[in-house]
Amino acid sequence: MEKLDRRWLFLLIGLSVIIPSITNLRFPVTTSPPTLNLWNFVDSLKYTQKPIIIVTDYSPSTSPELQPMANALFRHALEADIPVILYGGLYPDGYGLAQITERTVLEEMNYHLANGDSIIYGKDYVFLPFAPGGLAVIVGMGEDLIGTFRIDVHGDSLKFLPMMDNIRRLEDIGLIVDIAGSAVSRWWMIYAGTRYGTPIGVGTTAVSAAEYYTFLQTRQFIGMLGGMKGAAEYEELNAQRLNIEVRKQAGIAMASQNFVHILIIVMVILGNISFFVLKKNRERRL
Amino acid sequence: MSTSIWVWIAAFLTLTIYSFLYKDNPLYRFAEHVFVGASVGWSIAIVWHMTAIPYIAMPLRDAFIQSNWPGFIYVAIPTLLGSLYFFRFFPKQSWLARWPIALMMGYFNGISISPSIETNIFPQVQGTILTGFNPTSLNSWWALLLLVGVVSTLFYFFFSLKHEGIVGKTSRLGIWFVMIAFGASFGYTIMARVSLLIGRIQFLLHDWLGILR
Repeated sequence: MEKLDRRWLFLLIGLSVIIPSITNLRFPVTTSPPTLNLWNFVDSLKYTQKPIIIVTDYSPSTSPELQPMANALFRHALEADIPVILYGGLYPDGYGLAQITERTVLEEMNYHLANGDSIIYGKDYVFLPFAPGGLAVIVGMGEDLIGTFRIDVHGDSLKFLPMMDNIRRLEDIGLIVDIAGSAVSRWWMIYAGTRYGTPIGVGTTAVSAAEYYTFLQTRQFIGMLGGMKGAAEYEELNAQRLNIEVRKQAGIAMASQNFVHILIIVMVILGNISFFVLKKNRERRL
Repeated sequence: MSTSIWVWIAAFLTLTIYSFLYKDNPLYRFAEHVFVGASVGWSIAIVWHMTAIPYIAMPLRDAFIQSNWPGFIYVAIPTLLGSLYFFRFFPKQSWLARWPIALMMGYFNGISISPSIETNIFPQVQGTILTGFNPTSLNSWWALLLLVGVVSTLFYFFFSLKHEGIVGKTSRLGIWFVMIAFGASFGYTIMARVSLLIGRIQFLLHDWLGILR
């Protein structure tokens, strides 16, 4: 194993991703409590009609994990008639990714709801533009949301959009779900959550997920979508409970995930066996 | 197979980036530079159109036309302060950049200290302390394990006492909890890295070649 050219491993990993994808292998997706809690909380907003803010605080480098989350959340909220504020986040990169979410979901939903119940901008959802200032923007939203942004992405005044009639500041918001591949979710928790009392949910890359479990136990995060598995779980809940029949971007990927994980486990075991065998041989020679 | 030129360009760049797995080559470096350039270009365009114009140029223009001088000063002063950052490029006058830095540091420290403590310390300590222990409830035993884990891990990072005797035993227990946490993080990290690969493979197979449904 020590002399194995690592390019063989790259090839094996590549094949472990490609083969399950093209053979349409599917594995059942079981739902974990953090995802279920988030889904239930989002769904409960249909009774209060308080809006959800979906924040796409990530860049293209983490979009394979996070884009399916944004899509699934946006789809769920629109399907359940929950007012949505789509916000491209505190960094410039997220704005373009929020545009992709908007386009993808609207195309699917307007196809799905061809009976006339289409999605109307300004009534069903609003799209906020990038605003400079990082956490100062969160504080600004807490004090005066409309004053912080003034206009939407189309350049129209937020004051004239019917959905924004009863929204003045963060306390009027039912839930903020920050989807991020960095520590930005903590900013939302600290400022929007602790300071203004707005419930916060998080969608995060798998790298950050382990760190955020501590905030789930204390309910500082209502729920969490951890990596591609979290996105697949949310897609599955949408399908089971709302009969949303769309391409499950993350769900499809889970078969490849399983295969690569098995491969890596085998490689770790073989690597360790090789290490101990070589160590023993060296000791014998000495 | 896609008929969009942009999908073909993206597919070409994806393949050139992955060519690095075989070995470093000029095509990989070309794609790397394009990626860095495109992301910086995107950020500049967004900041220009969504910050400089609506938050600086238009308010200044409107205030000037309406002879609203307090409104003009209200926008002009922060803009001038922010512009001082550019003096970083002039070595002799670079000290001027310290003014906006000092202002930002003061603002962010002032606004962060109290809520950071309220978020990161108090609820976390509260969440660790076991209350209302019920031996028949599995949750209570998990909570006890959590308490033991937190305390023993904190002992491991307590360096004012020599790690021997009861302190040594507790800190060694702490290492186990730390290692389990590292293992969980490692598993998640693999999932994250594989997800990125899956994302690109899905793009190649679905969006570009149309093989994957």
